[in-house]
Amino acid sequence: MGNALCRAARGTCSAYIPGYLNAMPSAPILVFFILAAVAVISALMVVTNVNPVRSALSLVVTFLSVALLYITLSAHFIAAVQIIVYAGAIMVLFLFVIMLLNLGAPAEAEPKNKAQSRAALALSAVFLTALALAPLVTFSTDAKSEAAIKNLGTVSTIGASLYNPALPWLFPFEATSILLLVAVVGAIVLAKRRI
Amino acid sequence: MILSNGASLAAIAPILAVMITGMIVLLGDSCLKLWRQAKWVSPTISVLGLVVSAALACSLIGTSGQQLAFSGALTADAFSQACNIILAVIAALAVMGSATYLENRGLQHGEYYVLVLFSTSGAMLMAAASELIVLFVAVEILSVALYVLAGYARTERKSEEAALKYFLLGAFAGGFLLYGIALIYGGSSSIVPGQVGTTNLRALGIYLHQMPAPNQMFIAGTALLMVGLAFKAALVPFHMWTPDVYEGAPTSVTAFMAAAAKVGAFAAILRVFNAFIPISEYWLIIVQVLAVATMFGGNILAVVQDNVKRILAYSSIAHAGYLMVGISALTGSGAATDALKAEAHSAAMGGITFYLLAYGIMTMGAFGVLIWISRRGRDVQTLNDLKGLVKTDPVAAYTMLIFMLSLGGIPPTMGFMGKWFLFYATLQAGQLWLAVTLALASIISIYYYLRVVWVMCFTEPDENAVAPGRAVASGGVVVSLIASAAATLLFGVAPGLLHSLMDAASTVLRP
Repeated sequence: MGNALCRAARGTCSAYIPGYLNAMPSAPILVFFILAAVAVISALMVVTNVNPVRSALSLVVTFLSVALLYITLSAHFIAAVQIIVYAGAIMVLFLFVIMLLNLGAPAEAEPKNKAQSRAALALSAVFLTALALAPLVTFSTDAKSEAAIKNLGTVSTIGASLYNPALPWLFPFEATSILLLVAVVGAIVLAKRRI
Repeated sequence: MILSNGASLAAIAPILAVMITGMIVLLGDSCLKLWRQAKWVSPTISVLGLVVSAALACSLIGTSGQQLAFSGALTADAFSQACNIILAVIAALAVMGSATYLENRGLQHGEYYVLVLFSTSGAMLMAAASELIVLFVAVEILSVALYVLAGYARTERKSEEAALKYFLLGAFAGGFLLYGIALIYGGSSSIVPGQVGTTNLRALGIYLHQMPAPNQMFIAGTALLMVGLAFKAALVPFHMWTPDVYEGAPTSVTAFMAAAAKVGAFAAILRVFNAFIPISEYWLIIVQVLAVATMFGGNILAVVQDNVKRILAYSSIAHAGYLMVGISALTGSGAATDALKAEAHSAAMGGITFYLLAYGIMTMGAFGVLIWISRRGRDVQTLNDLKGLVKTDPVAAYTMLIFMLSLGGIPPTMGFMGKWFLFYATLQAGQLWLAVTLALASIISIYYYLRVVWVMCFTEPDENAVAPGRAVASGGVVVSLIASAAATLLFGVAPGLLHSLMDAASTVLRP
């Protein structure tokens, strides 16, 4: 997905999003840049905010804008899952834990660990360089037919393959029920006061 | 042969039997009052279910060829049936060994057996998976149940710590596994004609055989997949969690975890890397480095331990290293002709399958002795607790001696035959240096196994030790110990009895 995004940003992504990216900035690329800006700014707010609740809420904005980016790549299913699982379930868990631990804004800035912040800066620099160089590395991927890519991520395509007995996806879907059962039993065993 | 969905259900009957037994125990234990009050019902039903599963697997092991079940999601071939038998045996030994131990520690609940059964079914699915998605779901079924089991002694800090550590690192490793699968899916789009990509191991094996030129994305995916599986199999340098988790978890859980999780992980590693043999030039050296690091890392770290559970944990790491030597021998990289390569492949397959059974039985046995001599409220933990055991409890000491000799690979035990088969396969594969390394590493291991024996036989009993006097023999543990000790000696003398098991492994064809 990241690769597709960086191609989209460079405008050489004829295989993924044809035509319009090679032309002048049109509506889709404007949408991309707006969403990307929102995602990056809210992600920055996650790390710069002192108040953990505000950080968590900024993370919701990041998740939502990434979900919208998925929709522009016609990956509707991932977009829905992103909202339900990340922006929904995981964020509720985050906020719940923050409130349970009663983490307000810290009264004063804690003394900073010099060595750690230096290491963090160095690592960020490495990652930034890697990201900047990423467009130079091209994975050899064949251009697939436009229709195949376009329908790959829609909810109906995924549903049709998931529940088709002639495809191998039905079995892992069924096996997931055992996984969920184990998780439920495990949660009760570990958390219940008296079994 | 491609099976219809109905025939597929019949082909995975051993796995379904374990799952259904798990559900029966879960429902019976929570709904029926009489069931819950009679503590022996849940373990008995569990063992019965596992015996049924093993019997079903025995009857299906004769089927030849690639049995593609559920449109290629699973391969229910003879190798997967062999793994089903091994896992059912391990789980049955574990269930029999746990009942009294759990009673003593006040942990006797039906849910314990449910979790053991479900994680066994997860390991069985890992051995049968030929679709990487199925592999992931199976790994999670196995692991989630084990996370909970590791923390089963909920009131003890060590057990809680073990569960949390295992869970955090395991979830992280699961991420690696999944990321690897995603990259393989993306990377395979250029080698699979007319498709977007595939995660089917059999299809990947065929396509890689036709065109052994994977792109970078595919290689990166393979590497990440290797990291994820190496964590589950506790290979050095992904072994850090093992000693702490093995030490903290209740001993009966440690025994099951050490045996079943490793069998499942190695069955999966075998399936994955068997499919990737055509591109072995990319991964062989990594597998060999992992094998050498794991053998020496595990053995050398075990030498300095004083805690028996930690010694056995590091020993299980070392055994994973020996098994990795077998994986390296699968490729037959040093063999001159294709016929010799195929011979090395089948020798390695048979050797790994035999070793998995041997490792499972002797590990269950060694931990079984620790369970046996543990007392109410006190666990046998350190070597100090074993001091002078031959005077206080000679039967336990001599039983332990058998398992220690077997783990060290000394004849006439199953452990020796297992190592011999792996050694032979490595020589067949033309990897002489690796075979020599295996022998050197096992020589180091003999030191700490014999140290346990020395402490048991040649020191005076410690006043403060856990085990004064004879243990109160409890039915289940005794049966499981007799069975594993007998199997260790019997198959050490007559490994030919397991011929059908080893032959079964050769149904996994070299792509």
